[in-house]
Amino acid sequence: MAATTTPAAKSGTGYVFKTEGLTRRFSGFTAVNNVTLEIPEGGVRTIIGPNGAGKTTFFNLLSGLLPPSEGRIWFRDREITSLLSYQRARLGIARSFQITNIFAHLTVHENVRLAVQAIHDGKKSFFFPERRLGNLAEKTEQVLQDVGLWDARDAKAENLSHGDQRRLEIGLVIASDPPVLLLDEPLAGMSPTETHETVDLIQRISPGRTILLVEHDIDVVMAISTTITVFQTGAVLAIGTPQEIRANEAVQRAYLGELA
Amino acid sequence: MKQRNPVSGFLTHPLLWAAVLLVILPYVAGANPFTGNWSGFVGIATTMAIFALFASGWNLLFGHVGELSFGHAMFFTIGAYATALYSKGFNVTVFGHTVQHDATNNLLVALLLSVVIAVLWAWLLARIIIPRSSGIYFSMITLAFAQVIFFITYRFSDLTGGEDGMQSIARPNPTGQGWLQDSMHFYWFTAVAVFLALCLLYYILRSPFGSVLHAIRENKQRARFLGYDVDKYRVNAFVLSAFFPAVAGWLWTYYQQAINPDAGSVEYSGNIVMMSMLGGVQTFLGPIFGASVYWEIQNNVSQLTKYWEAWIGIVFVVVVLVGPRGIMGLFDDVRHYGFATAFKRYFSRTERVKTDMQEELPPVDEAPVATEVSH
Repeated sequence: MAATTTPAAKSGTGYVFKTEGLTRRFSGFTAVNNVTLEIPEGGVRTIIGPNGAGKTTFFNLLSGLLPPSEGRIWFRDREITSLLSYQRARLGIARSFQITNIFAHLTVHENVRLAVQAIHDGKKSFFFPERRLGNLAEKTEQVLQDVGLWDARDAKAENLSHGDQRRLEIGLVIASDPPVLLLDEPLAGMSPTETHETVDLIQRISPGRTILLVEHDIDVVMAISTTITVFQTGAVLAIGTPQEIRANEAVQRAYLGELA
Repeated sequence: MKQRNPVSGFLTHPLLWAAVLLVILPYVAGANPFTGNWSGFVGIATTMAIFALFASGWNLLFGHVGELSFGHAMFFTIGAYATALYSKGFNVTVFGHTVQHDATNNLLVALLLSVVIAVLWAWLLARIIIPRSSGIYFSMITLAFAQVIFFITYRFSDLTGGEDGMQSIARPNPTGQGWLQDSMHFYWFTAVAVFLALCLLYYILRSPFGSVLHAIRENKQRARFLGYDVDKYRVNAFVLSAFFPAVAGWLWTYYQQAINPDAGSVEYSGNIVMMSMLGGVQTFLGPIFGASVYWEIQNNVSQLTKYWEAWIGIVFVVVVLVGPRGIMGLFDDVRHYGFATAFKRYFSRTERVKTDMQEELPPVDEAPVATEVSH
């Protein structure tokens, strides 16, 4: 995979996302509270924190699912605070969801082909038979091979096992070769074998990209993260390498007590 | 992708079956087992062909995008009235200005006018409606706008002839020998026009554009996060789905050689919904066969009882409750699973068609699912 993909050129800013005073309230409850943060380019940037810490809301704000109540967001050197979700996707920000979000009634192949052809959106050739869009079929096959679903390509997505559905969603996310991936608990509900395969997949796709990961499996987080950001009650508690986070007393008190 | 056998690919090609239907219709349409009359009526066949196109246009929106329009007769009636007014000519005073047009009979100009006016109107509506509504609100607003068009045709009698509409509209005479006067000739003209339009529709649905429509029907949120401008696709689909009813309206005026406001009524909007459901939405052939079945029932039952509309209503209820995937849904299952399994599947509750009329689920934030994950 990595050999054939060329994620968009990096900008000179050094970060993929920058937030300034980012806040999101839900009828009185503040899920994300005044977060000012820079997420550096490249690597696996993991966000952990107890349930309700605002991790998914933070993802939703970055990907455009929710508008912020206050604050601003930059993607590289471009402010994206008011961009809609599809516009952010076109900039190369792809995301998966905590609860599997695929085209359940379409086949696995159709799912991935739709994700691959999304980069052609808006071109005139869109009304012509799909062979005019060039290497759509090849690229679709490549993505299906990468996520290990080539043999299941004609099955309806709803008939896949949970683990395969999660992997299909990762396939949808990487199909357009986005430079930035937001993966929201990609390992949730997976068996140990599936977890192993998926971690493998994430590591294979990570070179040349920035992966933002929300994950609860601490062993995996410690093994694959470049940096870890700890959220607590909507705010950033600590940022650091896995070693630093493991050694951080505040984090241990708040969240990682069980690891010691 | 499955490797297709070219022979079976040809034999199961929906356009082939649409063509077969259009060829046999004039010989079988209206055949009535109750009266022992087995020969076809070309007039009924013409009606069936025109409504096949009308319903197919509506189904582009419902079957493929998942938006239920209750007002598609407005595009049909716009096409029909544009053709009628262009063909018959008019002389009307609007706000003190006299607008006049003499009778003409160029069928291609009439087609162009029908389509352009319907498409522009559809585009205007779509730009207003689509960003603001979906689901039941979308249905209600389309219904309301259709009523606007209906009452214009009904009340603006200086132009449209009001309740009586317009009569003795000449059919075009491109050959100069009155070829289209013959009802069988007119049927073949209609069949060819309908078939060409259906080919266009088929290729739109099979294009990358068409597959994005299916994606939107299945999961708008996912489509957005892949980078598709969902509302732009919904607007384009709405405009395209107005195009085909406008062509059908053009044929309808020439066929009837008369037009009245009924063409834009709620009843017509509802009838194409019934035809498509009968044949099976989410399939290409569903509305085409559904239109034929609908008019066949209408023709046969109306000879037996004046309550024929009630009988059609009962048939519709049975179809929706028992097999909402319609006739083509049943055909597809028989092809894939054989008779026994197909019938079992067809009547089972779990295989019901999903029309995605509900809005997207609200965003799930820190859902309880997370608590099940091992730490």
